Amino acid sequence: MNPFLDFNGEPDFQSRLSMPPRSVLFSLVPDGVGTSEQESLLSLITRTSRAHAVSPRRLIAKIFSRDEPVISKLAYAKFFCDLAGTANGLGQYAELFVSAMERLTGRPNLRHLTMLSWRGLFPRNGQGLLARHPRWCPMCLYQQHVVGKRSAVFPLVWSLEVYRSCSIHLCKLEEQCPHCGKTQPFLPRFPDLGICDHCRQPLAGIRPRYGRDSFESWVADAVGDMVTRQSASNFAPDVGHFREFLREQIAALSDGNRAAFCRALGFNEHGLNGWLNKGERPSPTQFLALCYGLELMPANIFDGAQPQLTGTCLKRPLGKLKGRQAISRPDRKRREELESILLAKLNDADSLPVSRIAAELGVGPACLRYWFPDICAQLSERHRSMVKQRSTAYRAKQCLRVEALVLSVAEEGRYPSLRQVNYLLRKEGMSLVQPHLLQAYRRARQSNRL
Amino acid sequence: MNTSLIQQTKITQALADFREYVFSHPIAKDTFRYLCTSLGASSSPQMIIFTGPTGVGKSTLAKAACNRLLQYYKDRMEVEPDFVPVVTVNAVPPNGTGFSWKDFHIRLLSGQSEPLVDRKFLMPHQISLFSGYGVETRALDQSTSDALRRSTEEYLRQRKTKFLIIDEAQHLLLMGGKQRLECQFECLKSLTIEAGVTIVLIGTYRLLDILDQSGQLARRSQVVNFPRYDMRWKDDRENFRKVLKFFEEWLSNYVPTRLDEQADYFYKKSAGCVGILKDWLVRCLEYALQENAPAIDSVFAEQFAHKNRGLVTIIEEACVGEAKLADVDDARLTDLLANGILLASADNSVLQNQRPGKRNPKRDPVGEVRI
Repeated sequence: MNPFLDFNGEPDFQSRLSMPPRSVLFSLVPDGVGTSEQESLLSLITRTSRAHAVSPRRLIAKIFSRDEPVISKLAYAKFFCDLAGTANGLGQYAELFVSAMERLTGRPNLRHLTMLSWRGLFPRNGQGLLARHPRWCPMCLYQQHVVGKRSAVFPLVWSLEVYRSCSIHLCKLEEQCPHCGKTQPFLPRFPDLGICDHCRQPLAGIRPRYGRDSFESWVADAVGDMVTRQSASNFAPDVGHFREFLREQIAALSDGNRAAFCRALGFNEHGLNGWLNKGERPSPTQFLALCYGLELMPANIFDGAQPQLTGTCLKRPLGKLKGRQAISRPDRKRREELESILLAKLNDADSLPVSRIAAELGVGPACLRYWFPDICAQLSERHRSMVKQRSTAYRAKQCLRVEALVLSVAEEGRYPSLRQVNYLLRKEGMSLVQPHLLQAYRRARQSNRL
Repeated sequence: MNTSLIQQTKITQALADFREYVFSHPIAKDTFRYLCTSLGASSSPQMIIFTGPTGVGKSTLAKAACNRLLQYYKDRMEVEPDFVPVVTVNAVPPNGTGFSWKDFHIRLLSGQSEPLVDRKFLMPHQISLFSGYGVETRALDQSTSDALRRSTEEYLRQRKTKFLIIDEAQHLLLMGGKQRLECQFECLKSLTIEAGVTIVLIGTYRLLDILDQSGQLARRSQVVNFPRYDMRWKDDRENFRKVLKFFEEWLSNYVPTRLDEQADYFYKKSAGCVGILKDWLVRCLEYALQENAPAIDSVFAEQFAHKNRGLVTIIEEACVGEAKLADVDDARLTDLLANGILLASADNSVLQNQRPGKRNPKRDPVGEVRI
């Protein structure tokens, strides 16, 4: 039976059906959903741009910003190059791009292409979560090309800092183009993540570097497991559940002795205080180190059932997941010295910022802010007000100069037009484009009746 | 409110109601069924040529078919927000020498609200992994003709479009030269293959040239003819009178109307095409309502009828088209299969190219060579 002839009696020529509203963008199927190779949101955006044959940056600037006006403020080069990676994370940009993409494509549940499911556990600023530059496995890209994928697919795990080598090919992830040596922007100009945005050569298949230890291997598997399990509908890790679990483990494995628990894991003795007493959240690196020590996959803590530990003792991680060196903790004497120096700085004429003072003292600014929060707050406030005063004084000086110029032009017998005064100001590095200078110019003309 | 304004509003409403009503007369019903059969066949052809004389109502019937398709795919469209089962576009006649595909693709994509139509990249189908063969370093996003064509193909593929309906498709054939005409056919064929859609070409009988020019297209095509009423057939005469009766009843709601009494006259002046008849009656109704005419009859309608010269052109085109639609007999087919066709020999072709008294093009020696 022909399906289009399935109408009763006479054909209805009077009906006026219009096409219901369709999605603005093509609704491409995200690759690898529910597996460790699940695609990232930025990769899906880039592939969608390719399907529409437009630049991803232009798509964001024109189409995404029309749907979500806040995104129009993000449409600048530095964001596309360095900051757009946060769309794969768990912060506000991830939320923004997920909701915009869901509306534009009509495809739901795109939050699983980001780390938003882990928002309830990790720090809100995404500390230690995302890599600074896009990274890729050259062999995976090569394989994608061989099987005929039209555009490179970047899995979400490649965006995570701790994932350093490919679980499939066991080679290190690359972040520099093998041809020109440059790092890549998160959102390229050309709609293909597998092409270098600078020299337009393919990033695939060249000189993969091998070598990873068992800890890196475990971390790669654990991260893959996190990404796989986050797609489950009832999966919602939260820090409260984590704290409860941690307390249970401390009680079970070290008879409630936190310091012993920390030492066994290779943590600082007071390392768990922040998590358990001060309401702090674990960073991804510390969280994974804890799970490694407990020989437990991270997602098992939150999947509802009581996690089964495979060992009876704790395992110390073989290496550090954090790239930077640990800063030594100042002892009491050093702290007293630092405090007196900071108090003296409060009365200084200089009003230096905390970061400069910390650099002079050979410590990090976070260390000073941690041990001396009130003094640092006062120093910062002092510095800010000094900067503001200086700026106000400089502007006033510029305004006086404008007024003087207007008068001098008038005294020479010439009309002090906008163009004339601007021409003279540009020689001194100023311009009437600046609103305060334009106002000064108008005031000068008004007061001298010019 | 001003009485004349009220009156004008009523006239406008009456005209709109009459114009929008689609009368399902017998030929329209039969053609609609045949069109739906072609569209819905599981082994549907890649191209459907929906043709007929001008003014018979092809576009109107195509809209009804489009509505039917939308109704059929309604549930799927609710589930898949990116699914577009039918795309319709008009083939606009060219400004210059030939049909512009670039303009066609722009109109198609813009009509479907495709984003950034003016900023399309020409995307390579395949990227080489060899260094030195990377993507063109100055890949310009300036919507060249090729970039737009690929965008159209990709659009139809991604939206899982089933049917592309091109109205006024005879404008596609407005090209100079036989070779360029062949290119048009090839473009259409490649569009069906690359995009995986069935193309429905709606236009005059000129579209049948496609079948004569290209064997490949003939193989992939099906013709749906929407004929006019032909007074040589008794059934058509009776059905045309039914059409007139219906219009008479409708128009009598506004102005006393007498059409059936002069059925031959109305047939002659509409060439048997219901579309031409309806447009004519719309003009009659408008004037009758504005001028408070006593009745609409043949005398009144005469002032709004097409000139005979124009009608002759329409009927001649219709007759030529109907002749093209007539099939060759089996004897010819059998003879062709048995004997092939007679091709000219190589020697004869040289002689045939020479006209008597005309020299071969050859350079005569000039001057002397001294050694």
